[in-house]
Amino acid sequence: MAENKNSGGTVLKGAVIFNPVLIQLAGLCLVAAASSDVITALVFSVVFMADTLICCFTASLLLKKIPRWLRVAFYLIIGSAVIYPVARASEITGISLNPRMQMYLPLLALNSVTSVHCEQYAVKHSVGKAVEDAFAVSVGFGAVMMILGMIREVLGNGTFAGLDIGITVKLSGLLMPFGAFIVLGYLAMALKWYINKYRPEYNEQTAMRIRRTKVSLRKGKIYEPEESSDDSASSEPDEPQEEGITEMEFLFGNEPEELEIFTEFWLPGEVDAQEVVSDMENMSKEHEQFNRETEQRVEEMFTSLEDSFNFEDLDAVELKPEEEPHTENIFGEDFEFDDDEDGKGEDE
Amino acid sequence: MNLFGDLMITALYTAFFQNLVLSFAYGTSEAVRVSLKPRSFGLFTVMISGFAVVTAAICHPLDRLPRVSALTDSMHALVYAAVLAGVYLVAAIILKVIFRASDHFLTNLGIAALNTLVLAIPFINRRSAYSFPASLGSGLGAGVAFVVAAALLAAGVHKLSENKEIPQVFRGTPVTFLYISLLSLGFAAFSGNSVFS
Repeated sequence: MAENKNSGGTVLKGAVIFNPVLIQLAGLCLVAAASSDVITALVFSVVFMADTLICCFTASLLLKKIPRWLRVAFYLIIGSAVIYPVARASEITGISLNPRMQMYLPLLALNSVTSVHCEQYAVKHSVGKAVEDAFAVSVGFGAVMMILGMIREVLGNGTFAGLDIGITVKLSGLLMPFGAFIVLGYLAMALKWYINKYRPEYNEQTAMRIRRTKVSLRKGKIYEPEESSDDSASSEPDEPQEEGITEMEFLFGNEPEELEIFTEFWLPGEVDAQEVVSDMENMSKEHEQFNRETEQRVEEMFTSLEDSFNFEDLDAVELKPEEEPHTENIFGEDFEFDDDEDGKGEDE
Repeated sequence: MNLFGDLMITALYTAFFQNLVLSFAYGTSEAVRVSLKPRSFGLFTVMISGFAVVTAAICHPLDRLPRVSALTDSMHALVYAAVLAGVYLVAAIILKVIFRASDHFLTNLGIAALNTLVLAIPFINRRSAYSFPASLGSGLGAGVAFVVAAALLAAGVHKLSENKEIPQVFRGTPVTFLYISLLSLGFAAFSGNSVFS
């Protein structure tokens, strides 16, 4: 029972909280282009589920020990093998999809949702968990396709599943990809509102993450702004906490100097360990280069100071013996100072 | 000269007037991902253009063979997928064995080669009955279209992340979708379709 509840939670997370389309921005080609009517959306959702389940099952069972660059080719082959019977059946039975959508069916074999989930989940987990994840993702993808298909067909074509529902003004622009993106934007907004309101614990994880690694020299402080979500991120680095003249400020002055290394955004569920390691290596190289540049600048500064100060002039200076202090006698040359201020001696 | 003209006109048309990524949503997910990593723009442009051109160069003569031209659409899809998989594997093995490419580089190669944009090129060429130079131009334009889309997305997403006036629930992916829709609408204007009917 507890296991079932756990499974339900996993499906809810995979399908809703981490929705592959609205949160992870994957599979946009098919969603935007092939969801112009309900029937096409339904067919694509079913084929997508079959493709994803088989790919994730195979990846988890057989492809774990194969290098990643080789596995991605297998996903294409498996996907094509899954889709071919559907396409062939459509040709034989004469039940064809929307002609404009016919071309998109083979492209399902290369959808990014399947490859991302095979790579990030299936090859790292057991077969059961991989299939569970694939099911959750397929449900999430299918739900978005169906909602989008309904909205676009009703508002854009004035029909539902091919039946006229008597809408006279048609927003035919919704049938084009930009119409799909507009609807997707509002669906993503609704999902974000739901997460903010009812699942705030996932708020941070589902935000589009921005990692800034801008190394700045400002008021003598070297610092790196920490990773933050887009909700709180600002392009301008925060003011340094400590102020006052420091050694660095003395050397470089008070003008802000920035060395931008790179700015990257991460989509949720997009973090790839290998990529992170590679990025960290690059960052450390950049830091080393920055340190070298700083040392070089300090060295150049001291060299220029030495050049501007001529030590030979210092040797040429002769130190004269100390002279007695000169005092001017304002009372005339004949007047002699009487050291005996009280005049006691004279009286005696 | 005429062949070169065909190639260039098709490339320009594919890249700028009917941008395949923003007008038809081919490879949009990959464009979004690449736009978030601006350092890899050049690499992806070269890779996508390369794979699209080579795949188009192989598929175009194949389509002219009587046995292949007689195949159904579904079989054509299998042929194109097999060609693309073969091109990718040959390129990856050459890079791995001869040039000692890292696994990370090969992973990026896989993303560039195996996406909907590259696989769509042979279908578009066949449907539009492009000549051989036009097919190559279509492949070349696909790579340029990809980087144009990725650059526009990168600039927009960066600006949007800095905008504090966007309501809380629209920040992140919702406003990114709306931004993509505006770009897509801009390119759709070249198609001449009506927004209302």
